[in-house]
Amino acid sequence: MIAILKKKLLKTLYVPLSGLLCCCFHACSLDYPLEDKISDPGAIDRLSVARELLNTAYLRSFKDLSTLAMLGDDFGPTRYSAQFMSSQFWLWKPEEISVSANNLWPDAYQAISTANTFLQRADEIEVKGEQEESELRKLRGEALAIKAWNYYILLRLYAPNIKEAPKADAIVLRNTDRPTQEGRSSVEQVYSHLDSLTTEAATLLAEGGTDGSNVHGAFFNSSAMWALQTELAVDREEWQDALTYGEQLLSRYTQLDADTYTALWKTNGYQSNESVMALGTHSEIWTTIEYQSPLYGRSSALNIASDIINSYSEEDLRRQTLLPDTNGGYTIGKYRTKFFETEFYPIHLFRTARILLLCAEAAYRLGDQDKARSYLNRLQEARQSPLSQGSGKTLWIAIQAEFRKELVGEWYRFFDLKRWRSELKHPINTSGTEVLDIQASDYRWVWPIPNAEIVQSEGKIQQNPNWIHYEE
Amino acid sequence: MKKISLWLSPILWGILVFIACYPNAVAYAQQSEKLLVKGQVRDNISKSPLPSVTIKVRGIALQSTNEQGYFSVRVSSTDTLVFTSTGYTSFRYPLHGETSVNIVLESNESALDEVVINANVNDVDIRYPTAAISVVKGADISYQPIADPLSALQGKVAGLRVIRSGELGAAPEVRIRGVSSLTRGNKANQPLYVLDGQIIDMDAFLTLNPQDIEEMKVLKDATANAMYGVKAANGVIEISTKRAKTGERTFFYNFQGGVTLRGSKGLELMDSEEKLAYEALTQNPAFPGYRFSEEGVRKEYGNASDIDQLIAVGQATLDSLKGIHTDWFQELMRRDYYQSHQVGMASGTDKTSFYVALNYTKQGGKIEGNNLQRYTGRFNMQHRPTDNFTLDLSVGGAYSETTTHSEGDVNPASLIYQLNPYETKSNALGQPTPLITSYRGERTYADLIGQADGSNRNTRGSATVTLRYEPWSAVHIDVSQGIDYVVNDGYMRIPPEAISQQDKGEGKGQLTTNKLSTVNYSSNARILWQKSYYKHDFTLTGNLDYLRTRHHNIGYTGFGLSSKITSAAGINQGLTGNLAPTLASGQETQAQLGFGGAFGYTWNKFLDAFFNYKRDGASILPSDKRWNTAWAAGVGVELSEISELQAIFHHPFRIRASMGNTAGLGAISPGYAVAIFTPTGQEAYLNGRGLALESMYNPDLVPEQSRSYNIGLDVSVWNGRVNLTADVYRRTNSQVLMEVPIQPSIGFQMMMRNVGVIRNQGIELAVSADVMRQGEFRWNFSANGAYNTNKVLDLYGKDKLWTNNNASTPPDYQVGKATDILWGVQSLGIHPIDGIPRYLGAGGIQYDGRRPIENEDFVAFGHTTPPFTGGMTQSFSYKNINLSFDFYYTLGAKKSISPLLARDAEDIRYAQVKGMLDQTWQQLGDEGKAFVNPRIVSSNTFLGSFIRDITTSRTVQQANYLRLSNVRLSCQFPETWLAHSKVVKTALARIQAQDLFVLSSYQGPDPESGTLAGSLQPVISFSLNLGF
Repeated sequence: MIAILKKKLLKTLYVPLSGLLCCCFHACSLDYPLEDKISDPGAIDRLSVARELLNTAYLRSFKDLSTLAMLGDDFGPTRYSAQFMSSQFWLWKPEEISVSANNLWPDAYQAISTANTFLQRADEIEVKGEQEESELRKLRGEALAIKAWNYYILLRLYAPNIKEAPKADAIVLRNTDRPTQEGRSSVEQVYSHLDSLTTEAATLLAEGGTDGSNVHGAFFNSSAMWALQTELAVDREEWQDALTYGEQLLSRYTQLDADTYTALWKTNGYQSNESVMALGTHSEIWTTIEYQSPLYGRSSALNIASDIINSYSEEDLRRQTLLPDTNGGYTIGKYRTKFFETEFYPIHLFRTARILLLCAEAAYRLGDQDKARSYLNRLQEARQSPLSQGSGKTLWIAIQAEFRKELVGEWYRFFDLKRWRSELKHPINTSGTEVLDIQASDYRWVWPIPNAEIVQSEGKIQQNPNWIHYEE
Repeated sequence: MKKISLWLSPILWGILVFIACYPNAVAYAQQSEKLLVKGQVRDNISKSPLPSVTIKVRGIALQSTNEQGYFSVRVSSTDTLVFTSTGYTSFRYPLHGETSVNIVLESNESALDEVVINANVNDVDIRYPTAAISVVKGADISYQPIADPLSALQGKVAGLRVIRSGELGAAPEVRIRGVSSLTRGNKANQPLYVLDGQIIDMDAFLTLNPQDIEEMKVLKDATANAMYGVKAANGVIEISTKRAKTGERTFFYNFQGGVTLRGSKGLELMDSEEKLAYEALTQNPAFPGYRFSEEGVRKEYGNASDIDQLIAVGQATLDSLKGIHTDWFQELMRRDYYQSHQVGMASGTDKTSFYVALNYTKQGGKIEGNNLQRYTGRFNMQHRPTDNFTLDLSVGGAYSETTTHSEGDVNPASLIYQLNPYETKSNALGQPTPLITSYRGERTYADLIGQADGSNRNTRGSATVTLRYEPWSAVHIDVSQGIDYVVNDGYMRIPPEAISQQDKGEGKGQLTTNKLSTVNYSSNARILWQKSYYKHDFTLTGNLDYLRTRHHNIGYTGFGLSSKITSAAGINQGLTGNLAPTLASGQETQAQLGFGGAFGYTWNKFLDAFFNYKRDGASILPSDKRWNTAWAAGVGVELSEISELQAIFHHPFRIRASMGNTAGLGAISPGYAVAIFTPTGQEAYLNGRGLALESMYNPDLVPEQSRSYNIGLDVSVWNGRVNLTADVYRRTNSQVLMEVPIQPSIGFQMMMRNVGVIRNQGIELAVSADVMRQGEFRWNFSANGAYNTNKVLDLYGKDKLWTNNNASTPPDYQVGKATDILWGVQSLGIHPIDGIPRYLGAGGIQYDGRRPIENEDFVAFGHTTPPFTGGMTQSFSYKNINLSFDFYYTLGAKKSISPLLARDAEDIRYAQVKGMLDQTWQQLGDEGKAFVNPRIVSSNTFLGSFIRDITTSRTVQQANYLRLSNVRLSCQFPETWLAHSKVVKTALARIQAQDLFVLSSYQGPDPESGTLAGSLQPVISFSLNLGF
């Protein structure tokens, strides 16, 4: 009887039980890792993944050329300057500078944060063998170099010169990617941090025997760190150190001729022997000053200042980077050879010509005018430009003029003018009646800290002098 | 003899003629035993009419009663009518020749064991006595000419708000009992949708046919939602599709066809004369209003010798422009058609029942090229081989396609408010004329249209199998397994001829395609045990549910299109740089598992108690936060069952209370709590892949917790003619998640944090009344209303919280205040001397718009979400004719129309709002003006952006509205008319108008959606429902 009942029970329960078991079977695990993404713990556990992380840090590093070039005196007006909206930035309008400042700060810090993310996880990376360990050290060096580069740009924009105000508030230094609330460090603290970063990076990047050759490329290398150290020394007016670093570099980067110059402005420009390091970019360069004229088609709203053009001699190699504009002037031909460009061009961060000029300046400041003249002439000869012969003030004016001629349209001018404490004066309409005149003491040489940073620091950070908050 | 025959022949002839000419009479004579019997069936206790009662004669089902309980059948005078309905004891009524009967049916309590109509395993009876659940019958939504069932729900349920965007094919926002998350958007705030026991996504609704729906249940409080656990933190909407009833056998064809209208214009725009005069104020020769004016001509030509002639020419041009009155709303919006065909069959016996339906719907949109087409098919089958075993199979398939021509800034919806009244599509000869000012560069109207071509297709197939088994009388085992497969194809093509592509060189034209396929597998198994001892009834149930979703997405974008080939073959794959074709892909599998148990207890039929505990795990959460709990408890008392009180309460009178706690996961995504790295996709550094941290992660993140309380009342008075439901609720959400700004030097701008505690509370009322019954005339109405407020209770150490970084504007969230306050400044108008607007600041100080406003200057104008919402249906019937109205309303919300009114100098080239010219300050001494002179705005960018962005007392308006969402006149064809046709058994004809008008004092466009082009399109339609 019981047996029959049991049988009946089992029979009746067979269907639903198997149904339940079916569910249980399916429902065993909830471990479904993300298929499109990698998650911690252990996300960055091998060199190839670390390399990818650093690639992103490069992508985010500062490279927005056209922003900074417009703030100098490289550009002069055209008949369209008044009409196009971005001329507000060229005219140093505080609201426009505010907009650029608000965009550049977070972008640079994204690069720094990515480098920090890598550095924090670098210990977890599995390496087998000497070569991989060496590779890892190089990656660490690159991360430090990326941080140094971005800090450098931030420092030169958002803080005053070290010689004028060493204790002034500069930028926020971060050593981890954790969201802690931090305040600003002083200018001299940042410079000393940059010193340690660049030194350590240069050592790490010299791994694998890359030291001793003229490396160039799109990734930070030890030479790039020396070039950065040259810039830092010049900022601090430590001329002897600047000369030491500069000469160390120049002993490696010896080639300077027509071929290397032309090669600089191609899509694989970082392979030119004149380039120490260049950043690759996918952004469209110079579109901010492009203007669609109803009569003339594509044209630039800003042209290269006519006095620069007039200062080039007939055979000067640099004339090849002048792109004739439809309105009769010339616009920047570096980084593009036609108005509508789909190719990508790298942006040179450090190159031989600049090192030469910095050495010339350092030598001049140390009082060695012959040495200064020899550096200057070396560059002029390579560019097929007449050699300067003067000395004293004339030589200094020639050096400064050469800075402008050589580096027109690149990102250095604003920084050079700032550290020379120069006045900025250039015409802003075609007849020359209106002139933009920025004194050395103008508050706009130091960019405003983004409002978000100030508000979220809850009192730890103050705004730079004279800047007010503009609505976005 | 002869005399008699002479008399007889005409009579005989007469009879013959009579017989010949009146075949009906013959037929009638043959059927002289058949009678037309009419009547009404009612419930014996509540006396309310019973719809869907089956009337059988000799085993054959003849008819079901209609919505008012009426029937009319043709039977023999001595037949026995058998009335059957679920939940009632069958009733046999032998006829003795009467033609009018009134039947009452007794409800059958043990009917709970009978055939359960729906397939939802979570629909257990023990949740009802203590829960706040609103039921909407399919008949209450299926008549509307709206493609998706969710939109049709608006105004039917207290506390449920469906915000339609007005765009065809776009999903509405659905909110139950207000918003409790600070993260905006559907993912964090929408309820859980369940279709026949299977959890579905929001986008499934576009492929669901409202005519297939039997009923929708809206679950609002903790005890209702408990079965679903953590997923149901925002409420649940359960949908059951139709199943055939026992004894039913009908074939049906439903047709609905009508016209979709343009809707009302949002804003009245300036006519040509006013616009030209307004342009003259700018003194900018780019605008014809100034260029051709005398002042403008003089400025341009100055000392020319023929200056007078030039002025005359200018004047003539202006006059001809003033004579053009293009109404772009009429030109760009259009009327279109709506049609829907549904054919199907419902057939049921005691053992097996089928419901099969096929449907085709096409709805035209207001804008050229924007329309929706849908094919759906449904097959529902129930099989009961034995009394204790039921198999339910529900299969549905659909294909829907929405097309659009709107993409980017240049689309017909925005062009209405941009093109000037003096611009035309083409000239008298039919040639295209250039648009003078609204678009630079000599564009013609033809260039602006057809700038994009897009479509979105959904193909769906789903199947659910539910087994219900009762091994012995105390135990039920229910198992449900379902699979749902959707493919969504998106396509967008910007042709190479479009304006936006003109400066792209080789890469003119853009094509984007995307294919997203989703497979959902869900399973739910429940075991239930019921036992009664004396006056105690116990129920214990446990369940296991599992849901696995797999998404797979692949798409590409390419440039450089062929002008003749519209498919992907037209892409130029040889382009490099940023015009190179790119690939988008995504793949994800996630699973959720839940274990739950519930306990129900009833004492002496009047006291109910309920307790539920559920533990849910989700695979997307990191393992230390994976499992979360939801519990609920409820108590209910049915006063009419208490014998001592039955003298007072002889009708249903239930008081219930519930409370519960659940975690809320809607706002969480894995990247917020752990470091997640994603490839950077198209962004590569030279040729090297990139990898980036997805977002700044916060390891301290915890899920939200929601604690809710509900007290409710379900009352039936006046003999069951009036039913009232009232609920008072409070829901407190703690550890509310929100993305807050952080220092940008961290590398990210926002981070997800648990920021505080928010409380929502309110009252809901729903009443349905059978107001009047006079002979054949009936009047019933139902109405619902809800009041909801919210408040921030705590911000964990802070007093105020900003989501932007602008501390000079009021905080977005402040302790003690609501979450949806509209802040603005008090405007004092334009100062007569300098033409700059003045505002009233803190402490009564006047200031002008040139200095930044401070926090204290802001004034709270009101709430942006309305505290009062509700709806009402009025229904009047006389015999077979019914006239009904549906309304819904919101009260107490305020909206700002400033972004629509204010234009900066660049935008003067577009059309402007009517009446602005008179209200614009023009010169020294102009008093009482409201708008700044455009010349002043253009010279001061700060002022311009201030005017554009700020909300002032002049731009804030009450956004109260009462919308007549539907008015319909229907006629159920009486039996007599249909008797002639042997084929048609029932017929219903209806004429209706949907979203006909809105009563509102709001001066902007549609007060419901708040957008310019968002007014809902009215639809006027005719429908015919035939049953065979």
